Order: sequence, then C-alpha cells, then structure tokens
Amino acid sequence: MSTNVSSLNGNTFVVSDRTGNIAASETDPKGLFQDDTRFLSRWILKVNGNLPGVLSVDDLTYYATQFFLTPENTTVYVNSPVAILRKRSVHHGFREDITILNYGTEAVKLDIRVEAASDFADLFEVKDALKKKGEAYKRVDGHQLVLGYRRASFVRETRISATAQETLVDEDGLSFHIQIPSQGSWSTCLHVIPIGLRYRTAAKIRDGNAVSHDHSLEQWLRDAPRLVSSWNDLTRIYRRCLIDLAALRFSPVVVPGALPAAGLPWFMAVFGRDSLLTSFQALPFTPVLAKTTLRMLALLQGTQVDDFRDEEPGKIIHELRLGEMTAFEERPHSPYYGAADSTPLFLILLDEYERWSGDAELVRDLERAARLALAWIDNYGDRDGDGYVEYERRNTKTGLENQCWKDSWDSIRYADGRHAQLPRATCEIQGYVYDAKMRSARLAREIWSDPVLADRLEREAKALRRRFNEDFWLVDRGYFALALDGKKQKVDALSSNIGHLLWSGIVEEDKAAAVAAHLMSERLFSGWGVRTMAEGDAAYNPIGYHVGTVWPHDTSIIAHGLQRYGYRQEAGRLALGILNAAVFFDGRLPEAFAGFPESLTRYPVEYPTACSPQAWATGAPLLLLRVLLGMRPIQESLLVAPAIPKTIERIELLGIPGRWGKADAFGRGWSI
Amino acid sequence: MNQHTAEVMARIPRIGYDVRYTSLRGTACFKVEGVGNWRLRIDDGHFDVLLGDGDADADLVLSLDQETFIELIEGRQNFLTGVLQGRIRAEGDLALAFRFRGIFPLGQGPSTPVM
Repeated sequence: MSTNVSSLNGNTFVVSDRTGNIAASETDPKGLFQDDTRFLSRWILKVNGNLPGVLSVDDLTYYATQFFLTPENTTVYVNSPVAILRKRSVHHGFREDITILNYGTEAVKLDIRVEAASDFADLFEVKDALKKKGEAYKRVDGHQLVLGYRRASFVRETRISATAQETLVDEDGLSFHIQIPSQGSWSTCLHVIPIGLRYRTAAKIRDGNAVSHDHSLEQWLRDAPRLVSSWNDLTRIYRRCLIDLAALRFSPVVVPGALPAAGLPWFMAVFGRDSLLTSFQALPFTPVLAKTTLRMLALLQGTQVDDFRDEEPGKIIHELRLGEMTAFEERPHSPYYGAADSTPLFLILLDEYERWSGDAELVRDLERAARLALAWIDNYGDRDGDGYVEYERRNTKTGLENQCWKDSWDSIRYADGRHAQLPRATCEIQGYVYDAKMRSARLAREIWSDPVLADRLEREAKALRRRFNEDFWLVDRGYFALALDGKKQKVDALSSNIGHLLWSGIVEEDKAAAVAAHLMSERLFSGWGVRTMAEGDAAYNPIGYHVGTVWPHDTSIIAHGLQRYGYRQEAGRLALGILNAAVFFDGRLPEAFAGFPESLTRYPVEYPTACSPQAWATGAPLLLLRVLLGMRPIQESLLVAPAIPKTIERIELLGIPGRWGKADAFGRGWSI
Repeated sequence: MNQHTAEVMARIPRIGYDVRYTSLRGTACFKVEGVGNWRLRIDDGHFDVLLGDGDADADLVLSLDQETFIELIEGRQNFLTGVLQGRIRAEGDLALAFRFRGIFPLGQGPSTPVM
C-alpha cells in the first residue's frame, strides 16, 4: 500500500510522506497543488538538523491529517522525552500547527527548521518530467517567505508565514531557536498560501460555496441515505465512499455548488466523462452532484470548430485544466474536447437526473444545451454519415488518440493484437447514442412539449439499434466487436465494452444471453470484476492499463446492464466481486487493479500508478448497491426489486432522496 | 489609444446577432488600459457595443491592455488562457465569460445546427 499521505479539499491537495514532509522530485507527485500547479515541492521539518521519525498518522478527515513524530528518525524506538505533533488542514493552501512537547525532567533547547521551496510545476510537467520555461525567484517580505515563478505575465507565488514570535525567515525556509521547560510545550502555526489566478467571482457564487468544511461534511453525510447491513464491511465501504466523494467535490468557481473531480493526484479537475458517470452512480445517494455537473458542462459546451482543442459546436468537454502548459497553449485543455462519448453521456445523465429528482426546471434550463448535444451527435460525431459516432483527433500533436473511456493510446486492438485503424467507432459509444436518443425523446415529449422531435429521436434510435446489431455482431464468436475501424472492419477483441451495451439497452434480446455468458466467462470475469480485455487475446496483459486490468466503475456499469436484461444473479456476482475487492483496499477502491484471477492471487493486486481516491471507482459501490437492491424510479415512486447474493444476509438503505421525498429499500440475501 | 487599436475598434459592428447566444443575457465591461471602458451587451443572441466610462450595469469586468484586447476581439486570444496567463483580470460573473468565450470576432460566428 502507498506510503504517501494525502489531504485534499476541492481544488487544493497536499501529498506528503508519513512524517508530513515533502521532498518532491521532478516526477514525484508530492507537494501542495492548486489549480494544476505545484505551489510547494519542498517542505521539510527538521529538529536539531535531523529528520523526525513517525509514530503514527491519523486522517482526521479528508482535509486534515495529524502526524505524531519523534525528533529523530531511528529504526529502533527511542524513549525520547520530546514529542512532535504536526496537524495539517487544507483549504486554499494549508495551515500547519506544530506543537512540541517536553516530557523530560529538564528544559530542552531545540533548533527547529522548516525548509521550503517550490518548482511551480504544472501537473503535466510532473507527469511527463518536463522542464520549466520561466524563472523562479524567492525573497523575504517582512515576516513572510515569498516563493515565486514568472513567465511573461504568468505569475504564481507561495507565501509562507508563522505565528511564533521567534520566527526567523530566510529565502530557504523558517527557523525557530526555542527552549521548552520541563513538562512544557511550544507551538506555532504555519500558513502556506498559494497566489494564482487573477479573478474574483460574483458574490452569489462565493456565497453559494462558503460553507465551513466540518459543517459541509457533516451535512453531506446526514443528507445521504443510511445503510444498515448484516455485512459490516459493506457499511464501512459505503461510509468510505461517501467521505471520498465529499473529498473529491470540486468547486467549479463559475457556477455554485460542487461536482466530482476525477481523482487524486493526476485528475483533480473537471472532466466530462468522469464527472458525468460518477454523478450517475451517485444519483440515489447524492443527487446534488449531478445538477452542478450538468450545469457546468453545459456552460463549457463547444461553440466553434477549433482543431487545437478538438472542439466542435455542441460537444461536451473532456477535461479542463488551469496550469502553465494550458495557459501557454502547450496543452489544449482550455478546455479540451477530445471525448466522443461525453456528449451522449450528458444527455443520459440529464434524463436520469430528472427521473430521480423530478427537477424538470433544470431540464427546461438545459433544453438548448441538450438540443445542441443531439445536433453534435448527427453532424460532427458521425463524421462520415454512416450512422455511427466515430472519432479521430483534430489535434494530431497533443490531442488524445483514443476518445472513448479507454483513452490510452493502445487500448483498441484486434484479437491478434494489431491496432485498429482510425477513425474508430467503439461499440459502447453507439450504445450511449442509442440510449441518449431514447431518453431525450422522453424529455422532448414530457418536458419540452416537442412530440415531433420525440418521434424522430425514437425512430433514429430504433434504426441505430437494428443496424448496430447487424454491423457489430461477430456471428462466429457470439459477441459484439470492440469497434469498427477506419475501413469499417470489425475489431474483434473480446472486451468489457460489450457490458456497456447491456447498460444502454442497444442489445437485441436474442443476443443478450450470449453477451452475458461472455462477461461471466473465465476469459473476462477475474472473480473480482470484468477485465477490460479478455484473457487469451494477444494484447491481454493483467497489468495493462486498458487491456487487462479490472476497473471497478466498468464492472459496476456492466452489473447494471446485466440487471437491465434480467441477469440478476450474474449482476449480483459481479457486485459481490467488486465489494469483496473493496474490503482489501480498506473500502477505497483504486481506479484499476490487476486482472489476475481471484483463484490465483486470493487478493486484488494493485495497479502501479492507479489514482486513489478516484471518482468513478468511489461511485462503483454506490451503483452496485443500487443494482443489489434493484432500485429504479417509476414516475413518482421508487421501485425496489432486490436480488442479493446469499452471502449478504440483509441490506437496508434508509432515506433515499428523490421525487417521492424520502424512501427506504430493503433486501435479504435469500433473494438469489 | 494607439492608431491600430482605433482602427480595429472602428471596424467592430456596433450591433448584431449570433444564434449561438440565444437565451444568454448579460453585460461585460472591458477596462482597456489607455482606451477606457468598452461594453458588450448580449440579450437573447442580440449584441450591442457601448462606449463610455460606466460599468455599473456590468455583470463581468475584464481588465486588460490594448494588445490583449485587440487579440481578444479579433478572436486570436482565448479568454481562459488570457486569464491563466495573467493578461486578463476577471471580476464578477465568470459564467458569462465562459458562455461567450467563442463570440469574437463579433458577427462572424458559425451557424450552429440545433435539433
């Protein structure tokens, strides 16, 4: 397990070692980060010139951590009379309270030193080990240490100060020469403040976000449904998910409220796909995320054709970044639109949100955005008029080659390992389009009072379903192709993508059994979850990012799809697999873990660089709870049809928010 | 105001319509160093340009120099990267800025298909 300690609060996060120190290298994601910039890369506490040792680390909450330290880092416990308590709380930078206690019989003299430095690296520079182009500076400004970086008009600064009277500030840190009497203590409070973007938001937005953290977390937990289960691990996983979702809340600044950022440390940003799917997973539990996500993504919807940003009118974004490389257009994330699935997913969430919440007003507010999204599907998503949405990047230098959820460069392969030719029409995107049109037809008929559009969308969706079931079906294999390549050849790898087709409803009934059987086969189902690519295909690698690992969110969507087609026992098995894996991760599922069979390893093997906490992995147990309880909104009521494996005796979910007010759901393990 | 800025500003249409901004309402005030205040008002896709010192009715105030202003209104400076670089200082309703970030050059937007 990781030796890094993370504290995060919306747009700011700190990653340190277990003593609270930060000694980042160019490629090490330790530091204080805000708005995609590292504002502190060195933060070392020393006592009499020595690095402290760690006694314990306590996560007080997601934004505060307490480190209990001894003055010297020794491998054998030393009965030191001096103890160090370091408490860090993150909010627009961080505050760190250092308290030193002397339990000895005599007074002690100590030289306390905090070394500080910043490389002001963009997160992309950390990830890709790139060099800076501007100049760093540092100065002492009164009682403050100012660390700065300038590149033309781009200026970022970190201001550091301490409350103790004996503080000595120099350009490399702060020093305290102190004497602590017997049984006495000394303390100081350090403030580290990043100075970055030059904006001030309107009062109505600031006020909407001005909630104290304690109150905010407490309220967040109180507003969510209460889970009672005979399986104690399940309640622990559930609480972990709710707290991690709270931690990943990201204030988009321009609209009130919060949406889920994608994950720590690389993806603390607004994403189209990740924010949409996480909001979908969390709808029965924390519907407020969906509302902010939809509003923010509508605000950023494409307005023009811009090759650099892969932008097209009506397209929903892939990712928004705020660091130096984005500022100077060395990366296209201002925002970047390289995702072919975020636009239909936007429409899917809009409909699902209304089904749960009854918030027709938001659907009316976003009618124009939804119509633009539908137009994008037909006019830009379908590049060649063949009726399928395919992608090929406009930005050939820094754009993404794969614009589906498996967005690493090598994810779309034939069974023999060859890479598929561009443009690529991956199968799950066609499913999303089918679902988006069916759902938008309902919104058009019931809320926008446009039955003509509703009829048209349903006609188009049905035609798409018919053609898709012919064009993507591999008759000799009994499953759907991963994609159609640039020559409209079927890309024949067996992949988890076929499970998303069940989720969207595009699979004709006579093909569903074969798809379900493949998903539950030993080639795809590892015992923990569904592998991204099947064992036996040439590109399969159990630790290949999108070619063999298990992604919990992927499996949660597949389980939901199996349930949709009536494969409730299979859905329950997948749910149990992922929840069992979550137990091994102390309730916090990583974005992905290795695809080794459960029967071989007996525990889920970590993927080397997986993000944690990660939003849609955090959302996976929530969607799986929905699957196990069989929850579905039907007009003004919540339908509950549990299908729970026998190993879980009982699940009760109390106070589920929705258009019905609050409802309860109960299920017993005898159900399947 | 330098001559180039004066020439560019003289060419800007004072009124117009952009279908992409249907349902958008708001006023942005550009405080341009050495030029003064330049206001852009949008009302359901119709826009008009106002000159003068007032900014009391502005939902959004953008402070910038002449060079950045010209690049912005000619569509060569992205609004967000301008803010990130520190070339544009924004205050007020940032959502408005995001909404009309593609409006420049005025009156030359693509006709966006809407279903």
